[in-house]
Amino acid sequence: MSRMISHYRLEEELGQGGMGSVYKAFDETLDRWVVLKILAPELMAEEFSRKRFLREARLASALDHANICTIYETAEADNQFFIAMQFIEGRTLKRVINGRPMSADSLLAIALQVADALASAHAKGIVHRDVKSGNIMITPRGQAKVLDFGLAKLMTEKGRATEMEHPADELTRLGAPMGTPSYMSPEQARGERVDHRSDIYSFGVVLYEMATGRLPFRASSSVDMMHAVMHDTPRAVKEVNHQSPEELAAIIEQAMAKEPGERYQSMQQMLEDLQTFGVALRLGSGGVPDGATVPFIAPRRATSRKTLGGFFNRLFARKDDSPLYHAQTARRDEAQALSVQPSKKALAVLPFRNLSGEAQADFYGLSLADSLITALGNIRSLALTPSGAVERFQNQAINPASVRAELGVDLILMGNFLKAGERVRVTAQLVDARSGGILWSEKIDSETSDALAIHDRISREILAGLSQEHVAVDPMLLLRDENEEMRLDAVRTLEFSHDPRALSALVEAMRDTSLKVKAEAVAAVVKLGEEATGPVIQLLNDAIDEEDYLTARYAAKAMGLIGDRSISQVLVELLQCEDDFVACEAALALGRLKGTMAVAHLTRMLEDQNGNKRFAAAEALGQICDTGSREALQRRLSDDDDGVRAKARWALNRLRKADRA
Amino acid sequence: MSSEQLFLGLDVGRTIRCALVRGDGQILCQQRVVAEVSDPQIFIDQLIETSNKMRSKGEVAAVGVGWAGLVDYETHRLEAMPNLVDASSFNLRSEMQSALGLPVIFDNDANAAAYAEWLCGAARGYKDVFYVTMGTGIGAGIIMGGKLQRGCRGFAGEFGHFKIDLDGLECACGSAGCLETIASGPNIVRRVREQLFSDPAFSISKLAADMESTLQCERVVEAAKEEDELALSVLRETGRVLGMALASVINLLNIEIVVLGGGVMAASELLLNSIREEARKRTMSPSFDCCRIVAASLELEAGMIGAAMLARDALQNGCA
Ligand SMILES: [Zn+2]
Repeated sequence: MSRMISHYRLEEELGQGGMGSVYKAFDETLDRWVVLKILAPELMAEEFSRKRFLREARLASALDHANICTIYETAEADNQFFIAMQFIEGRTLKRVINGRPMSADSLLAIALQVADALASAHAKGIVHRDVKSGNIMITPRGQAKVLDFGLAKLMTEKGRATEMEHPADELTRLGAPMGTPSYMSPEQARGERVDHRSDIYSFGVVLYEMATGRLPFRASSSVDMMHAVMHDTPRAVKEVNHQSPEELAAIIEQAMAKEPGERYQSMQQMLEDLQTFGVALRLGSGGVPDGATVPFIAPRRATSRKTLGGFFNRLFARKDDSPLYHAQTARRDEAQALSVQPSKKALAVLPFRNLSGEAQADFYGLSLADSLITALGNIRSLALTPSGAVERFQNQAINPASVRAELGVDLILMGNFLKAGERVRVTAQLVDARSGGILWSEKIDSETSDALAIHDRISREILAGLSQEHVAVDPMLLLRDENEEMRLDAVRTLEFSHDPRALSALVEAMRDTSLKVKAEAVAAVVKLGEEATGPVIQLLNDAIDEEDYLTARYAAKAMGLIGDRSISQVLVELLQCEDDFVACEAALALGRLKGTMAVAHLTRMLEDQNGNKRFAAAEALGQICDTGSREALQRRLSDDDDGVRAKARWALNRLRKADRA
Repeated sequence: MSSEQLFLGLDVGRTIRCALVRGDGQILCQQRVVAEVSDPQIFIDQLIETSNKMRSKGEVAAVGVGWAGLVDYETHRLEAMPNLVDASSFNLRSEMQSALGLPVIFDNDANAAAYAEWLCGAARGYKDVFYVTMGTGIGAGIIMGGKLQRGCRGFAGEFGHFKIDLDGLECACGSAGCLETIASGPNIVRRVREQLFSDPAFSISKLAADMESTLQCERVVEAAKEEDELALSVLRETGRVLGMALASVINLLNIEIVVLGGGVMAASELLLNSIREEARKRTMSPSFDCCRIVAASLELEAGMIGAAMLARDALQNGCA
């Protein structure tokens, strides 16, 4: 007789691994085949890792995408934790490749599906962490399905990175811990915190494998492999497979950049480039049309700033639209643009912002700008805005776009200073007025008496900055100043920057130790809108795992303020968070989103021991205004807490008003 | 001396306070019980029993009741109020009169307290007085030309439902944007809780630590006295809102003295400063210059004394 777990009849053992064992099983209740992963008991022994795993798995089970293997259930029976998931007939991509390069057509057909699956998961804040050809199933009808979302986190340090690729049992093996060495991103190999850009790297490796039939690095041990991932440059795709289209090679190269900041900043961006490549392929030219040709399709999100730095624009855009700030690939265009345009660049030097907190120091910001204008006035390639026109920007938050609109400049030199006694620290930034991208940034410490030296140095740097190729400054660097005011200012600057890396940097700034910086980062991230949802949820999950609840709280707040309805399910999960404030923020967010599906959960929360939770639940229920909560709210009218009573009274007043309407 | 007339003064809300009061407003003894709000009959029995206990200590001539809700001065009907027993279907006054065999008068509790502050408290000697009590609700008593003003039916002085915000919160009275939705005791605590959510920087506040369990307005006031930033920020704003509302009253009625009482006023100096400051900014200066804004002096006893004095005067005028 075959063994049963819950309502699953185990049919056939598919494999064993560090994570537990995998079975093909039959769901007796729903009459369907499933894959059942029974987790090794030692993985579940620790309360903390269990919670963390369950949260991740529950989030992953909310993913509903044709190219993602569905997780049906995560449950416990007979002291065993198990995960039931969709049974998929087919072969792994690893076997499909089978050591031979794929044709560009079939490669693209699969890549687009996988990229779309990953983009959709990232938008919900779920990072796969173990993207590899062995985790992608291809059905007989050619549909791609990404397996094991949310499971890589389960891996413990113990089993970490000991396995090498073993093509024979790819399907059944439970995945190497924290990613598989050949597909690991450099940051993953270093054991650092990863975000969605790590998946972008790993997907780049999968594309490399599809395009060439082999993996980018070869090594005899995982340690050697990780070393190679961190330090070696793989052989170029074109070199391994001469037939591979250049555009594809460029996409792979960008995805596999060692620095996360130099990769695609979102899977959506990469997907758009793959789509563009697809159009070019179908046009039959085998190459992308010349820059003068009008493209036949518009990028999927033409208005999105994500496309700004994208492949599409770089290839098709008019030269003067090419994003100055874009790191790598833009360089070529940029050098061209500068050389074919002998005309002057219009530069505005804005008064430097005073961060000292004493108004007497304001004059310094003006005089610094003033003398820079004079100094730079001699440079023939620059047209300077006269100082009278820039004075009104003193001590204001600068939005490069509006400065451009008002003064008609290409470049903005802006900055701030901190003055303490005779010491002064000046931070200056050269900003592309069109894109908001930061072209150059420098910190200069000096004596105030030594003003000339400062002007000199800035002018020299700017000249150098103008003549050399523009390699954009990593916004992350600006956020690492030891001075709180400086970091705050950097957040405000990034808020208006259209640098594609700004989002990741701002999300990272929410981890700042300073509450002021955290709050400012929340405000900035919220302004970016739904695009920020995925990265913020990632941050939230990581912060909870790291027990950095303060950051988690800010992240939850940001989620609520962004107001993306697609994440209601995530918020409902968070109501159970071990940290009460995170749970409260989730409740408040659900209230703002009018999440009627949460009424039952929130009604239960009204009875919580914790006053903050009762209060947040009452607030949310008052916003949602669902009659189902009336009785529970009425009971709160005799709450011992004055605030909860007032809030429940208010909520009931709202219900009553809604009744009348 | 045994022939000296005494009066019973009751202050009735979520608690029942009862005092035996001399004709000059001096309290001889007093008692306090928690009101039973779920059952009107038990509530009536409570009132009668408490009154009986108190009258055994002296020769009582009449009984005055300050009621925390609207009192129809013509029909003696007590309007139903949230948080309070629903006595609208009972004739409380005649039930008490027949059970006690004494004349009984009912008046609004804020009117009673205002009357007390005027006769023997902070507003003694003034003619145009605006008295405000701030607790679970916000009420007021108006004395103009040396006479308590109740309006045509007795509903005047509902200062708590003064509108201060066009888009304000829904209020129990059915309207929205009332002063009470900001400045009453429970709403002060509500705002403290909201502050904590809106700015996690307040998590370091001592008050925030208390908020995991339950919080009462008294604790907020206490924390403000200990310079707790969270409590201070909310109370300062409360003062500003009150000051703004009072400015309208001062402009409208050319008040001589504003007296502020009730539980929230335990934070007296802190609140008074921001109330005065805001009222000054928002009044016409001649009106402000001739108006004093002070804290009440009779505290929690004002309601009982006032009710007793209203009973005394009704008896003298033959209307009890
Ligand atoms: Zn009202």
